[in-house]
Amino acid sequence: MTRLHVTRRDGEQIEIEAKNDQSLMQALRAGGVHEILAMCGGCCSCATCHVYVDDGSTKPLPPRSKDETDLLDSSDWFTDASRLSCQIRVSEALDGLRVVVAPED
Amino acid sequence: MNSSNEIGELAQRALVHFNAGTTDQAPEQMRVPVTAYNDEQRYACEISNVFRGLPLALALSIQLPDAGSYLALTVMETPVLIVRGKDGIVRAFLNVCRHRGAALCKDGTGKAPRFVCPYHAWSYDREGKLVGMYGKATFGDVDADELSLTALHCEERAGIVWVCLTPGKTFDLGSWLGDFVGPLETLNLEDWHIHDQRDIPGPGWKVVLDGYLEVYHHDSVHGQTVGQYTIGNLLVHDTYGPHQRLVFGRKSLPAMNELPEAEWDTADYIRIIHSVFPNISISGVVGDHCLFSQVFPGPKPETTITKQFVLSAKKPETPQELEQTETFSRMTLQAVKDEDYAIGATIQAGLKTKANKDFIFGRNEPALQHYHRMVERYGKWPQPDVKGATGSGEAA
Repeated sequence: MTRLHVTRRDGEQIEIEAKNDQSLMQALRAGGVHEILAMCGGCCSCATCHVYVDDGSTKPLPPRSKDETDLLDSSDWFTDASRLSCQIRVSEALDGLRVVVAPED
Repeated sequence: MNSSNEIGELAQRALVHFNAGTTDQAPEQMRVPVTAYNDEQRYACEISNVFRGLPLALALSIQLPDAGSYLALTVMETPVLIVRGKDGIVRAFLNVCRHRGAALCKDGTGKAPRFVCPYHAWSYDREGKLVGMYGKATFGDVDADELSLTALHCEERAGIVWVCLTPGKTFDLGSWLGDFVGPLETLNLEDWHIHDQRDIPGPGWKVVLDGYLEVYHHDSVHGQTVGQYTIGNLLVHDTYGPHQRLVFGRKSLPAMNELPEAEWDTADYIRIIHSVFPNISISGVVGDHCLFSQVFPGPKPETTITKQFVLSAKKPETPQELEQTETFSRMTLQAVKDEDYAIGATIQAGLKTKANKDFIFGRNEPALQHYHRMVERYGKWPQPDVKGATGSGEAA
């Protein structure tokens, strides 16, 4: 299990104990973060699972693909910390990751 | 404008008729051939020119209350997606993915930041722009700008969303509505509450619309429902280009004869119907309840679907308010479905019998006459036949 510190869109801070080997998007939704819509089901085509991962530099996150960057570019809320949570696998290496749900487009 | 002054004037016009036993009249009777109702070629021509060529009042603004609100609906076999953007602007598109044509979402309302095709997860933003494709790197390059959702000309005015169903065809809403925009805006449709929505199957388009355009039938057809409250065969009639305003007297109208003018409650004495060409009736907007009816032709001349909204001035909250709204809703449904459309079904059946070559519209049915003249003008059926036609009724 991997601990995630999550700031929801309304500002509420929660902790989620996430199972490994699923996407961060799935872990967030399983943890009740339903403002993560993930309308495309997790295939990197809609950008409705947009989060900020504020300490990405200290965690071994995979780099953004071009598709992911292009999609994030369509968001009004794109920053350097932006990720699509469907593109990140949960593993123990991410234990303690801080995740902030991005504002809705 | 339906200002209180004007409501007073309308009530006085109605009272003059009531006292004299008269009604607003057309100069002459008019004949319309029965083929205008059931000729399939004519039907196709008029659907194309009228229903697909003109702006239609496709939605109420209150169906799209917030940024991101959407309404997906199928109108005359055309799937339409209407979305309010973050900028507050309402846009309309064909609800058809630009990849392989699946509908992006099911008919209904909701809120969404993106519209994602269920087939291959191509996704579009609220402005219709293609923003994502599943497996984009494998698909190969596409020009996203060229693959935006197909837009339909759309404008919002007077609490109504106006859309032309033909892609690429535009309209000038100001000139289309003309002076009618004033009366429409005073209805404040953006402030009403949707209490109920219902789809009512009915007979053909013109048979149905005819029933919304005269009060001559109220005593005979609606004696147990809305006819209890309205005076039959008394019409105050005004036209605004193709659009019309019909005013009926309520049974309370004669109170104006008894009471001093200072005590008149003129809004209570009349019922106002705004008829937006070609298919909208906004009925009973005086007081707390209103029926907003959209009549959409079916694939053949003999069927329609009426999308009907029961609106209340505010959301009913107390049991008493709820009961009043429910009573209005039930009574109007009975009047429309069990009375008007039931008679209409017999008219539709009778069309085929050739018992009538023509229908005669009386001088007391001026709104019917005006409607059919406008259908002829905008429908552009190449054989003019409305006036004095006697021999053109035989089916070819």
